[in-house]
Amino acid sequence: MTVGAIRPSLGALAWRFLLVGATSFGGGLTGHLRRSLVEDRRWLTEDEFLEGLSVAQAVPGPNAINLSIYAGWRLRGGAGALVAATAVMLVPLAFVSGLAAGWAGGAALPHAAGVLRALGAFGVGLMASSGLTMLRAARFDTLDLVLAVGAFAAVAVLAAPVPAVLFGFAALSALRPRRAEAQ
Amino acid sequence: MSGTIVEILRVFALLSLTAFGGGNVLIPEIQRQAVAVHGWLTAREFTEAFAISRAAPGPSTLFVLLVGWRAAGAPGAAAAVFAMFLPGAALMQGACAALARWGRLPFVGRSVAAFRPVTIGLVLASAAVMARTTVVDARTGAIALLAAAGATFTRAPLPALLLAAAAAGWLLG
Repeated sequence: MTVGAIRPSLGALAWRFLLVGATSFGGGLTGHLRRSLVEDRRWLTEDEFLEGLSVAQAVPGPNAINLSIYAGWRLRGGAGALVAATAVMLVPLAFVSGLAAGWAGGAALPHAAGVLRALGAFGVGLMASSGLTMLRAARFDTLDLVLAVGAFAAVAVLAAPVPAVLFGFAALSALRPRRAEAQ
Repeated sequence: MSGTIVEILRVFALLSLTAFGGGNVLIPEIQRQAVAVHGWLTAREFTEAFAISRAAPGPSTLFVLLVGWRAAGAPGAAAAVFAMFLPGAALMQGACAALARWGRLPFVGRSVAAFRPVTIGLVLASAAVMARTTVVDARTGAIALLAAAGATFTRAPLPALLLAAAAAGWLLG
């Protein structure tokens, strides 16, 4: 893992992750991270992001937090990882703590339900966009596409357990011949 | 109460270390532990906690804060969050350090590359699974489609797209 050409300061890193954490409504935090880090800031390339997400899924723990740690590492080493993970969690933690305190009672605002539904749908759209953009950028051959679609269908259609699908399909993927090796 | 805190730490730390593929895979097991095994909250409260947590930004796994809160108040909430997030984060730090040292080795590069198609398949599967609970009618379907199109084909900043979605939700109810 080499440090990329663009090296934001720790302060810029903290601010960016704080912002992504604060605006990542709808549950699609990895989508928010990709859009912000790869497209808006260009701190990570598509390849680096996909590598980070792969490692994040293979290591236990919430993907988005693992991914923040990876991005922080790449941009500013161990300190960057700590700052990124803390910053991305700060506002959501405060928000959910507030919700926990208010759980017992409190009347809902008249339009709040509509806004929340919209933000949930927004999160889904963003997640789908991230997956499709990554798929396009990855330039997979037919076998890789079969593996991607297979993993998708196993979880989304057959409701198979994610860890089994992750490691089972990764093992299949490791066994298949690769272009780099064939050449 | 301190006994409950220890239980919360134990349950969530163990779960954290088995959350391969992300936090969402744990939800059924969290429900089993919190409702059936430990009786920290009722099944109805569990569903409610999950729904409430969707209103917040951040990782959906943060809803363990609400479970811990119901079990033992603010200390329970803190214990649940620490136990759920710290072990995995420490492992990920270790993985990044290992990647920094050995990432150039062909074996490591091939292993990470092997996960790529699966990783993307799982992101799309997450979207499909999330869609089942969030895309419930034509309006939410339209917002999801517009969000996907806006994020894919325009350079509009994400917070602007988010505000547009929120405004649409406000106006359409």
